[in-house]
Amino acid sequence: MSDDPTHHDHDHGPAPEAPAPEDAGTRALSEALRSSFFIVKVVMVILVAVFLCSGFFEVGPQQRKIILRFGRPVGVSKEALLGPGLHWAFPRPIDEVRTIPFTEIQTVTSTVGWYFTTPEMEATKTELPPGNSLNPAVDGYTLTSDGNIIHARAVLSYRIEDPIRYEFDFANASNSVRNALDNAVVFASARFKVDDILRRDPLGFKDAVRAKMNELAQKEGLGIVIEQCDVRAIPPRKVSPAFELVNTAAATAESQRLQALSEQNILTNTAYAEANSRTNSAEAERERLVKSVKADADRFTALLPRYQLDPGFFRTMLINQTVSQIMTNVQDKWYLPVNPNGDPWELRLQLGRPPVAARTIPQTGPVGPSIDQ
Amino acid sequence: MKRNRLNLIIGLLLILVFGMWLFVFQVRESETALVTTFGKPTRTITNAGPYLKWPWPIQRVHTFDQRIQNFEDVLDEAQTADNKILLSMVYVGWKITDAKAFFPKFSSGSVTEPERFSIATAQSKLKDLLRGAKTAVISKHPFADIISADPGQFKFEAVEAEMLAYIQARIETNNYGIEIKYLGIEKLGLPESTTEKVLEQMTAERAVLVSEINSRGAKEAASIRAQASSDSAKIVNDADAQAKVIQSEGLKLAADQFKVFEQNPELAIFFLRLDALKQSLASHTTLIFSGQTEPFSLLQGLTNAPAKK
Repeated sequence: MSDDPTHHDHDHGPAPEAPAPEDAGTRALSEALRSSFFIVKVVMVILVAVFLCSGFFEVGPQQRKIILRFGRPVGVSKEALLGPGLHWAFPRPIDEVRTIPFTEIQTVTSTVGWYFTTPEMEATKTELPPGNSLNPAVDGYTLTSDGNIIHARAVLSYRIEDPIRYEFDFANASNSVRNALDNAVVFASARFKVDDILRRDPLGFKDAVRAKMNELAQKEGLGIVIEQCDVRAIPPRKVSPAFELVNTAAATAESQRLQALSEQNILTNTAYAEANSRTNSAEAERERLVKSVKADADRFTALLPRYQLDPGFFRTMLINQTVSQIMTNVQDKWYLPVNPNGDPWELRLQLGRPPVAARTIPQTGPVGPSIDQ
Repeated sequence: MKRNRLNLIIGLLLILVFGMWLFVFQVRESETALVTTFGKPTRTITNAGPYLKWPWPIQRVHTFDQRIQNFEDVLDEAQTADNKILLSMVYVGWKITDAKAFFPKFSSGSVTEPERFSIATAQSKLKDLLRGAKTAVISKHPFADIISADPGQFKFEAVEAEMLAYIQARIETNNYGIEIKYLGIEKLGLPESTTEKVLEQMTAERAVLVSEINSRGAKEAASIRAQASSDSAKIVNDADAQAKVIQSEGLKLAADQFKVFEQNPELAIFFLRLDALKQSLASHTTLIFSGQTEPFSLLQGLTNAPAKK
């Protein structure tokens, strides 16, 4: 027989002996215990349900999570990462869910070489006035290979190549990345001259920072892939005007050089054009000469037999024909009849005057007409 | 009986949970554990998983973060081999490799959180070691070994390696149970009074540089112009020479035709004279001729008639 006061006798065999008579107090106690046990059962069921449901967890779109079962990751490498959605794990202490940094791009900034500023000052674009010196405990800067000083700031964007390693190998991985970036900036600065960094080869300096950062990421096993490395370098603010003058002078010199190069191009092109013109003229002259001589030779060959028949007549004919052609083309023609005195005419030519009209100068003797040229 | 079985199961479960709580502990992936028996380190666990232990006060489990800890020291002054003062700050990545050796050396001082306290104590010790390393290593190198544009002279990484070796040696000698995974120089600087002189020097150097750039710019432009003049003259001269060669070729070809004229030089010369006459009087010509000039001799009688009046 059970000692459970909630037990119902109808579940058991033949009817027992008649129960002892119960008083009202015993019945009330029995009822109270029955109710209490019922409540305890319900609570236990709820607790078990809560315990099991506490294993559900959600992974956001920019998150990855990993389950540690008795401390060990469930799964290997990236297979262990749980993507966005609803997941379930055994409640503690069996399982433990850890969030892994998995945003697409992480960013760290190296300010070890930058002058003192705060995010608020940067937002309002204000800064403290530059002093005559730099306090290394307050103002960051880097030393250049020629012993000068610059301010340099680098912003590194990177992807986490191995999230599990990133999480479980480093107590504070982003700080380790920032330290490496600081080292890369200091290292590159120590190899470059100030004018190379600021004016002559800023891209070379930037590449050197990135190369060193790549090397350190591999060497220190940071498990990251560098996406972008922006480096900004400026002279100390106190000497900034002096550097501006250098930049202005360099720009002016470059402008002068470009102007000279432009003139050089013009001169050279003109010379080439002139050279072409001269050689072309020579070739044309050669062509003309050869053709002209050939034409003369052909004419000579054709007319020689006729000339040989009567040279005098031939000459007279050609002279007259030629004079006729000349007379046609000549602009002004002056005919001087034979002086009645038999003396030759005295002609006076006025050169250099426009040939407006021919004037007849009164003859004071044996003087012919005046000709203005 | 059914009720008794249920009670038994619940009881066993409770005993199991209580027993696990007393006898089982787990080590996470990023942790290492040290089990002490009556306060004495007896077992080190480096792999993650569940493990058994005797309940307190017999055994106690101390878990440590086994990941690489990041530590940055502070700016310290050191004198280089060529007597220059250089400020430097380095960072190290270190981790606990032997909790059994590490815990006794760095845990004293905290009863409630000896593990966390031990990390801070170890970093304090590292700070001292780093200061010693920087002073010792930098004093062996001239300034130009650390700051130089000459790849042959530049020994920045060698200096870092020497600092790392210096610290590693002392850690191993003292058996601190830690390992330095990497070390790097994070900051280099000069004393504040020196920076003022450097800034003044930079200003003076820029003034000289401006003068040099101005001079060089004008000189370079003049050089380009002179070169351009020379080049263009050469181009034209070369063309002239080539033109003469072409003209010579023309004359040579023409001379080949002159043999024809040898049949009757008199006629040839006559033709030449006629051509010369036509060409010379081709245009813009004022011709004065006398009455005896052919064929104007025909006009001789006509023009003299008025004169006779």
